[in-house]
Amino acid sequence: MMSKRTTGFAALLLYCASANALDVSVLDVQGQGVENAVVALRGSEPQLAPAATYAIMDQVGREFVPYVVPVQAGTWVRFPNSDDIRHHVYSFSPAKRFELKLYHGSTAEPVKFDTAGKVVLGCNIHDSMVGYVYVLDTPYYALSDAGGNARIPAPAGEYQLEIQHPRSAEPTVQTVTLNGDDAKVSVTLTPLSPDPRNSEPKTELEQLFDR
Amino acid sequence: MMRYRIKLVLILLGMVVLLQASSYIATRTVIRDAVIDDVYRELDRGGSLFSQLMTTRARQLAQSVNVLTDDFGFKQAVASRERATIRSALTNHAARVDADLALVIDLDGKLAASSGELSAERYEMFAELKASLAGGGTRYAPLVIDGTLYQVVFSPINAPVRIGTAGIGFEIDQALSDHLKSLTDLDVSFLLQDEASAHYLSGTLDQAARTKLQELPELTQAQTRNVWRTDDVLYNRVLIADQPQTVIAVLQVPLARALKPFAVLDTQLLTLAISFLVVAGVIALILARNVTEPVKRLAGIARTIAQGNYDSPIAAQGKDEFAELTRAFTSMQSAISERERKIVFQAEHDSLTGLANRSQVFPLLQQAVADADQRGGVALVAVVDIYKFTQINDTLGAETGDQVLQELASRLRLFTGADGRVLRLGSDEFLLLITDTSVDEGIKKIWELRNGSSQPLRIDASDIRAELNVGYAVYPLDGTRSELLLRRANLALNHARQSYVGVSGYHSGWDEDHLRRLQLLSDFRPALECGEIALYFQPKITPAASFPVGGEALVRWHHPQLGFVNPEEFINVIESAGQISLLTRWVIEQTIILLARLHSESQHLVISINLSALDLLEDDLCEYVTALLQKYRVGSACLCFEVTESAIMREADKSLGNLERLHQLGALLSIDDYGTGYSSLSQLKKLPVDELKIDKSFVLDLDNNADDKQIVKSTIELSHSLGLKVTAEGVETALSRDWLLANGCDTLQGYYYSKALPGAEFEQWLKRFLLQQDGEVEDEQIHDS
Repeated sequence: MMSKRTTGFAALLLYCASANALDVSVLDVQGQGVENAVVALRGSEPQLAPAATYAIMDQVGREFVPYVVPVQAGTWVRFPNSDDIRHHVYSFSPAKRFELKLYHGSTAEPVKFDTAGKVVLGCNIHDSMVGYVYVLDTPYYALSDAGGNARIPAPAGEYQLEIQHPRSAEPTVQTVTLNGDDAKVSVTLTPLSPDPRNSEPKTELEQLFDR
Repeated sequence: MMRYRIKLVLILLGMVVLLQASSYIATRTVIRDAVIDDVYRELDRGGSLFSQLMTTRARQLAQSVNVLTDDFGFKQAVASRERATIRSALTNHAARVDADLALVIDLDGKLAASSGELSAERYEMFAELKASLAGGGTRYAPLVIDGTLYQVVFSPINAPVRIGTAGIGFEIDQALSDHLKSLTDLDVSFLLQDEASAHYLSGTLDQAARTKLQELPELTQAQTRNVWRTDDVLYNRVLIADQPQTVIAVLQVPLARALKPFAVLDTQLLTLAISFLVVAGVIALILARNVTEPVKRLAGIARTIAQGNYDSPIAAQGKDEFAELTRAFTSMQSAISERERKIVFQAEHDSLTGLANRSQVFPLLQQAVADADQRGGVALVAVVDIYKFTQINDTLGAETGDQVLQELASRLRLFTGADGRVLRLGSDEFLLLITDTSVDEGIKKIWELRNGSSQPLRIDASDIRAELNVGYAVYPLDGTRSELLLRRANLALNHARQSYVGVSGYHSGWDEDHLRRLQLLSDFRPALECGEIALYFQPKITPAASFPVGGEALVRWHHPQLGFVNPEEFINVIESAGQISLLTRWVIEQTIILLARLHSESQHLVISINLSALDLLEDDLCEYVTALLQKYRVGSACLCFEVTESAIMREADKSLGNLERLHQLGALLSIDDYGTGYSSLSQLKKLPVDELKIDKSFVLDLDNNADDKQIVKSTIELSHSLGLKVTAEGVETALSRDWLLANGCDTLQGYYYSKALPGAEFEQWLKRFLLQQDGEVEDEQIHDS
């Protein structure tokens, strides 16, 4: 919805009909690359994933693996349990509310994510387990590597470049136009909240109350 | 004067009091400080315990809030974002953990739901909390909500990332305060504090104490100590929260309560100090008594000794200084006693003869009188002296005189026998008391004594005659009083001595004469002052002179009891008492006053004044006369001093010198009573006299006695040949007057003309006489012409 403002003039500048890719470098304020940022190029129309598209969010060592899973809307996600203990995976996120009650192995039914948005995953019995499924209504997306780089192959055209990250409350959006050549763009995420996975108690009192 | 014992006790007590007081005060201060320190520590401990209790409670609260936020159903309810659902979940949970408050704050810091109704202002408070809650984790915050203090614990609601914050609050109510108080034994108060004031929230204090606490300046003062005290309360301030509100707890304990055990100790200390003081006082008293008691006893003994009692028993015990002093007292007592005996003996006895001395006269006399009374008999009081003892002393020496006295004393002792009623009155006078006889026998014995004394005493191989004179008086015939008897015996002795009879008793009347003389002497001065003694003047007529009248000043005494006193008698008495000069000077002054008065009409009046032998010995007589003459402006030629030859002879050189000076002054001099003494022509020649007075004894009988005529006639001739005027005294008849005038006597004096007259009458007489004389002269002149 934010992208609609800039659509007109960006389309005139960067238009290319041939297939190429956009290199996005996601940086924090210190200029360091930010890993696990979901980088997506959204066109003017939402595109649903083809039927029977599957993605996997595993649970290994009481962690969701991978930490962040970007999927196209309409994708089914499987939640195999690689641990030898049961998990109770749930989400209270508006984009997708579901609950996979205590299960073991690959017994859980896959869950279809068909609404775009951020879905925070948790385990009812392991409070420290956090995982993210970003549901996107575009097929052009990528996850930044440890260096903060992501490469999105996409046809020439005008897009909204949308970057989401667990430590960012809101997505960062800007307009890009692909004109058939590889393009390169740098995006700085600000601000970044602390990583919810390993937030340490800071005060003495917190320590006191730490479980 | 403070007694030594009291002083000693006071000093000892004072020292003990000082010591006790200082140790009591020091101990008290130290203990009190220690107790207060202890209370401070107790407060500190109370504070720590309190913090611990609060923390423990907060921990328990945290448990329950965590239980809430961990609850999956609750998370689901919160995630539902339905206020009613969340609220019901909160209410349900609050009831489960017995919390007073439960709430959920969303990620924007807004109150999502709460178990009870909260006032709108509180939302801002949660907004303030938002920042601290954003970090996640459990937060503890005591909050004052709608005036009630809650311990609130916040915990994030993670699903699995934070979707909100849940808070559970427990009211800090009276029950908690009471519980804290029961654990810490301190009063607990919770206050909400801002920069200027403190607001009491809850606690264990009553209303008055709450108000007082709120107003304490220490609460709001910056950088104040956490522990402090006022006059009566000790405080410990414990900070409970400073965000978003400053909430403090104040623990306090009244000083009085803290000091209560100390008060008991204090009382014990005081009791101890006082009892020690009492014990010390008793000891001091006993000690002082031990010191002063012997001193007091010795002082008592010293007083007894002072009263003349020398046989008080003094017990000396032990070997201390007091015993030593006591022994010294004992020896002093006996020494004083011995010495006093000696002194008394010496005082009462004559050292030469060993007889009792004059001091024993009256005791012995009284004893003798008492003896006589007892027997119904008489007592003879005899005074004895040695005839011409002075001669013995002068010729044979005082040593021999002493031996004579000693010998006589032993004789007298033998004479009186074992009774020993003999004493030495002084010099050669002794007193004998004879009691065990009749009067006649006594007198006989006295005569025996007197006659025995004719036998010479043998002293140093030479015989010395020491004859005795004895005068005696008989009790009770001659008097009953001791002094009377002694005086009368003395009078009798005088008589015995003067009449050479050797022994004389007292004859009635002697004593009266003696007493009369004494009375005259004692009355003389007052009489002179009050005018009983008056000056009379007897005219002296010198028919041949141009101013034919003069006078002689004579004293007259009209005694109120004795009547007219013969001038010879009292002048004799006064002279023998050496007081004649007083009278003479009085006479001189009165005479000069008279002369001054008569000076205008009778310039040439000459008044004669009698001088006694003693007057002539006074060197300042001349100055006295000169001063008076100048004072009253009277010429010296108006005075004539009459002196007897015997008076001049007493101390001739000195008397002559003084007479010479009077003569040079211009006064006339006259020889009085010429012819009665040992008149010496050679003396007469040397004297600076102008006049000679023939004694009246030659004149009174002149009419009938041829011898007297012869004496008077030759005396007149003699005088004239020596250039002296002659005055005849005692002219009583015209015949005598004529004879005397015919034989050349210059001046006449006597009753024929006039007796002695008082001053005023003399003046009148004088005027009359002069008038008459003028008449006669005129007559004579008529006859002559």
